[in-house]
Amino acid sequence: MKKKKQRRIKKEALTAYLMIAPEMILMLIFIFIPIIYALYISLFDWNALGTKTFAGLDNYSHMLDDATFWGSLFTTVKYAVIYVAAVYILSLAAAVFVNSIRGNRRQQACRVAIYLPNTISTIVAATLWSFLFNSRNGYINRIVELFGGERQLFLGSSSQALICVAVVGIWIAFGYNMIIFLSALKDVPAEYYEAARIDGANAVQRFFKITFPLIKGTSIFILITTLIASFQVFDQIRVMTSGGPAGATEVTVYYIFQLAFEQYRFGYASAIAVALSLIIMVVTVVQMKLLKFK
Amino acid sequence: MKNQELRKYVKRGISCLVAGMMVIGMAGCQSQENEAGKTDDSSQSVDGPVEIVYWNQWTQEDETAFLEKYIEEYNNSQDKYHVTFLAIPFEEYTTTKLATAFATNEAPDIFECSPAIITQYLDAGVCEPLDDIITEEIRADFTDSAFDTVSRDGHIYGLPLDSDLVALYYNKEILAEHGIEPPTTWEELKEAAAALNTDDYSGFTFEVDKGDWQCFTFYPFVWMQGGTLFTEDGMANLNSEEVINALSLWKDLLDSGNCNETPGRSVSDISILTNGETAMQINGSWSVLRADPEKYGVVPLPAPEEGGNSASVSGGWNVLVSNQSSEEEIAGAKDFISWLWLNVDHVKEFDTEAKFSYSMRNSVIEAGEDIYYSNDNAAVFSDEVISTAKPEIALSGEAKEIVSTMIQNALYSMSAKEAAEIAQEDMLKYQEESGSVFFG
Repeated sequence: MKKKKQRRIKKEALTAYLMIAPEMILMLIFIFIPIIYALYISLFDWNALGTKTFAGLDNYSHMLDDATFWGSLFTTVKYAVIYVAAVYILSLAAAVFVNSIRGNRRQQACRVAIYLPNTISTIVAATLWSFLFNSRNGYINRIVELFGGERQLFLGSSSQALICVAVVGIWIAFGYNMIIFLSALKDVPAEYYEAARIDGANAVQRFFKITFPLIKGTSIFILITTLIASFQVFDQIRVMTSGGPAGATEVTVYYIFQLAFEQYRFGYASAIAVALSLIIMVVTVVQMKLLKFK
Repeated sequence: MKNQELRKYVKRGISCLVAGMMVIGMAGCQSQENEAGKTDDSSQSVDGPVEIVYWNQWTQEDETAFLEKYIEEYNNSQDKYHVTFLAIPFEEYTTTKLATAFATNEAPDIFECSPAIITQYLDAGVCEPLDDIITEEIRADFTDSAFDTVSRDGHIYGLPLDSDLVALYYNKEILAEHGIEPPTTWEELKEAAAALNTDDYSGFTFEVDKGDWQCFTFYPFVWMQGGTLFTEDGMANLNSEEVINALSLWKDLLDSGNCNETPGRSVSDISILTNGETAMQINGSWSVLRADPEKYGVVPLPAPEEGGNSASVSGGWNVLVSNQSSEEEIAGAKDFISWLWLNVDHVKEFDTEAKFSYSMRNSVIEAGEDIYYSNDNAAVFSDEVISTAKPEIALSGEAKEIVSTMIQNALYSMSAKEAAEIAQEDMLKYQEESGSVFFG
């Protein structure tokens, strides 16, 4: 009897391992091995063309004195604050709005419309928004001028460029996060709202006393995933600003790209990549602890 | 018990994965060895011709058509070598493609570099000397400075293919409407930009985005004052009066609001002018055949003051051979380069029909004289611009970053003088640490 049970467990475990094996192997090849290799390269002075010269922790100590690195990190944090806050608020607001629409058809149409930008590749979206943000012929400036405002430089301004770049990221991401919020909202039992309504709670009270606490898990998930995504922003910066003007949109990932592929400093670029991964890891753990994520 | 069982399976699972990874890893190594030593099989030439791989950035239709035509002709003309080529868009070619190919031992046998990236490849020692195919006689046919950027320790590593020059393009109709003559001095340039600027198009467009192309078009503004970015012994001269003046000019132009603040694409693309987005644009000789001479004119870059000198910069691509290739592949690569790129007729056709650029080879210029004077704009380059051009400075990656950052800082975040002083300090520190010297 016992043996039979053991054999069954064995068989089940084997099936499970076989099922996750392809994914695990792919993750090893494309994620874990490159990470370990980056860690290895970060200990060398290497321009990708010649031989690697062992540099020990030189790349890491150089990083501490590198003002551009710290500047890029600060820009990344600024981007993260704009992006995470906007994606969170907009996707939650959109989800609550869509959830309140009566009639399946209408709700569906609205959901699709909001989700649609997520199906566009970042490169295409960034190109599209570059036209919209064009300081002379862009539609946004035309609208601004229509309302009597002054022509704005947008991507050509050190103070506005980062926000413009963030707008593209937000536009793409908030529909996707709305769907996740929506599924959480659908799980909140309708009885709670009915009971609250009988007790005389208004819409705002119902949202903050019922909806918000009950979707906390989803909220935390979205905060963590959007924060990680914000630290990895690259595509729209490459297309829209190339890190400019004067480094105003030079986030750390873009700086890594420049170091590796424009300056051919692969060792130093890898050291920063390793540091950035550690920073993301630490921030995520702190965030999980603070938000008491289980 | 359950836990022990589970642990056992987890362990087994992990060992299976590790074993699997090792097998994959070994297979990877095997294939890498094959890649690196591809010549072991191919060099024997038992099964057919030796494969020669050629990478470049000639992605325009006429350019690829030219290469396809002649590579096919070469392949048909003999059976020892078989050449294939891959044209990669410029942005990817110089960044992610070429360097990673070398890093993974999958470098093409023949490749091309511009002065903006050539230093990295020559310093790394990955190029094969070409002294044997570029003979004394051939060398004598080239201009004096043609081999400066491609030489190291008395050896020539690259064959200069073309030379691109920079000048000022303008929209004839718009200038005529405003009764403005093409500017010849910095002051006139500022005034013209102000007079021509409208809500729909900018008065003037120059490169505001950081990068190689911005540096490339910045150099002549220093040179035309008689200044240099590096001293005669190759050390930083970035806080010199001439550099600060050039930075101030660019800064004033951008701050005036009369220039294109967001060109949206590289200013090396003449379509900013031809699409009506600007009245004047810095661009180069490569656009001569793309801008209708009836509608668009060309003048040399404006001089600092009346009667002053103009200047231009010449940059172009050089053909190189990788020394990661086998002896037989190197021999094949050299044979092909000699056949295609040392033939005056081929180069003339490439430089004057597939595209428009100047050769550094005198006999090509003579043979293509008709084209070099085929319209007014071409004639401006041939008569007025070429004689004022100095070769692009071949900077290393780090040095390029310092110069680019200086231009960006001056344009957006500080005074020209401050930006120049910071760059000077950074460049000297870098040069002292690395022992690098640069000229221009």
